[in-house]
Amino acid sequence: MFRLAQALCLVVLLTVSGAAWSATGVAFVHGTGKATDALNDYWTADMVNSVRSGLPNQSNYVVINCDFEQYMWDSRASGCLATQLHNFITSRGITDLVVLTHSNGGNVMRWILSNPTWDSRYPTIIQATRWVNALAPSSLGTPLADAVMAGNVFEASLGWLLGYQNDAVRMQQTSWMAYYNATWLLGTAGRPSLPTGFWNVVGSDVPAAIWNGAAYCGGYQYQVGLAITKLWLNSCSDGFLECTSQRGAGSLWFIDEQRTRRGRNLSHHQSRRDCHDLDVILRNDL
Amino acid sequence: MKRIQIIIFASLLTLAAHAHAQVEWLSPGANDLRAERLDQNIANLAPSSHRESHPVNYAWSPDRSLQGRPYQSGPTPIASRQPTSTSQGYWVDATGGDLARGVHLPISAGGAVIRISALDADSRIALSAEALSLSVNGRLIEAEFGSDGMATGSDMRQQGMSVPEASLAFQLSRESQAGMLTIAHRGLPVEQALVIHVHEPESPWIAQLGLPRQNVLSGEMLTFDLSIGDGRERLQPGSIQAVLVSPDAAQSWPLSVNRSGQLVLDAAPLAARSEAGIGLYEAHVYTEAQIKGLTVRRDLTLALNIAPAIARFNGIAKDSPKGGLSLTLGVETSTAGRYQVNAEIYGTDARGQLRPVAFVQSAAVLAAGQGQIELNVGQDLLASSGLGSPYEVRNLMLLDQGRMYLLEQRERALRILR
Repeated sequence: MFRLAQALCLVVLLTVSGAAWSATGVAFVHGTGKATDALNDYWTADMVNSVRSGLPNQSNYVVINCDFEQYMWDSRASGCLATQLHNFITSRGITDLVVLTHSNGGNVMRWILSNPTWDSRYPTIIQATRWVNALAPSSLGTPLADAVMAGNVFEASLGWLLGYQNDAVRMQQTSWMAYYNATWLLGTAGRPSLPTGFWNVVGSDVPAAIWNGAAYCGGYQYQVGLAITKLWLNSCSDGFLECTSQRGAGSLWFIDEQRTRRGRNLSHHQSRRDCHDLDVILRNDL
Repeated sequence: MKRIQIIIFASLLTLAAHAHAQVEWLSPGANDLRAERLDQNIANLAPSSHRESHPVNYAWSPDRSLQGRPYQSGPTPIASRQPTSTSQGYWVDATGGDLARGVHLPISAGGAVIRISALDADSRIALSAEALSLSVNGRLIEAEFGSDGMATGSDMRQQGMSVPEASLAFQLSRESQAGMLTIAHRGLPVEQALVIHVHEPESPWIAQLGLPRQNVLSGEMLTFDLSIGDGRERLQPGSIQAVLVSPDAAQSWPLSVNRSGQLVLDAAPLAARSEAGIGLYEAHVYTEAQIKGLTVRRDLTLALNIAPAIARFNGIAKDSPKGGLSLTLGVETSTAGRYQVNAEIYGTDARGQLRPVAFVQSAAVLAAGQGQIELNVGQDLLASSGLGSPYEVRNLMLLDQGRMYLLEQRERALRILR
């Protein structure tokens, strides 16, 4: 009887102390754009609330709002992200952070992970991060950025090359990302691995047909141009990024149809929404 | 007495370790980046934009990124060791007047994707399918204008493709002939500046532009490989225009074609206006080749960075085995800034094979002249790897954080014997 009581006490102690030692939190990091209300404009409250319901303390979440129209190293991009993550970690005592990034948000987060000496706050963020779940990250850039940046420099004045697009689009051209991956970023093939897990969720096809119910998730208007944008990409893509880019850094967590409800595909837009049980998969991962 | 003996023994061991710590530089590799001397002409150099002033060192084990989940697969393998860009298309500038008369575009296969956009992102011109007319080799054709076969600027922007609102894209029928496409659009302002992008996903003819590495030091010779082929046959370019463009797009330098068909620039230039973190230089190539009466036209862009030689390792390398690995590297600089060193540390296993122990990065603010940066790998990290001496430092990089330059890179850099 005494032994049983001892064992029970031990179990209770271990459970309580375990919870006290580790405070789990989740951060939502948006993609290209200057966000002021990413909760509603980028992720939607349905997605965020569904995911954070998997936390022991549901208030341990942060939705990042930064200017990701800038280059990833810019203080308005990675500097802003570091400020918001660092504040979240230190103010709430987070010791076990899961970071969810979408699209170019993966590059900005990978900048922090790859350059821990850039800013003395970065090591704190890295140490607290359990892993990054990178939803459709543009790790190798996209031919769509190539297609919109280039013009004929032999006919036009050169100046418009700069004014035509924001820096984030310039940066996501494929040969630009090849440069940054080989020089400043880690986690791609042949480069040192990152100091924390960078697990990719890959959208591998797009349901664009009007009769396909799966296409309506997240808003059908977001699917209309897919048939055209896909033509710049190879056969495995989410309509904005090729699978090779989404798997370009870190490790594969899953390809959409391996885990989603009924094996449905996630278009680039749907991989930031509560579509096809993506929110449930992310919630169960916390 | 016994305690004193242990202390003496430990001290002797430490001394022995100090005595035997030997660091030697390995011979530079063929593709290493290294300045023979520092640039003294640094008048145009941008001030360092670094914000951090504290020295920071961070080291981690290579398997840390794989913890917590079953491993399916790693990152996408890189197709070519040489940085390469490929193209199946080209751009043409036009005006509204040109499009009213008809613009002629060579097409090397059916199924070409055409995008017309206003050059000015804020333009409010109306591009529409109804105003378009298309012909190939003089015969009128139709694009696949279904609900899915035509996209407006708004449709493409919803997908994240950052085109101007005033855009229209469509695909020609896959059954359409190769030859000369004539595209016309009525009703546009005559002076309206436009760009037409032709992308040929069904064409076997792919152009490639390659460079041995994307980081060069100013004054180095630039040599680009250019080819157009379908995997079996290589076409001889009939015309080539090629320039290097500065990051601010204010300057360009022509590339010439050598006897081997490579594009060369004798000395990599530095832009007159230097600004930290402004972006990369780009090589732009516009080329055409002929095959069986067809014209294959291709545009290519390849990014690279050109750095002035403002810092380098000065040859000093010391290991102080105070528990872990503590490597001090001498750095010679011609200007103050925050400099970063990256290193991959390899150790020797029981079978004598070198395997990765840790990746370490360290940065500090250095004044102009001679300075040093210390790389530290903790004893716990070293011990948990199960690897020992001799150690090797690979992929050693010296970077300028405040100006975003890679200044030195050595594939195999140092051997450490303990």
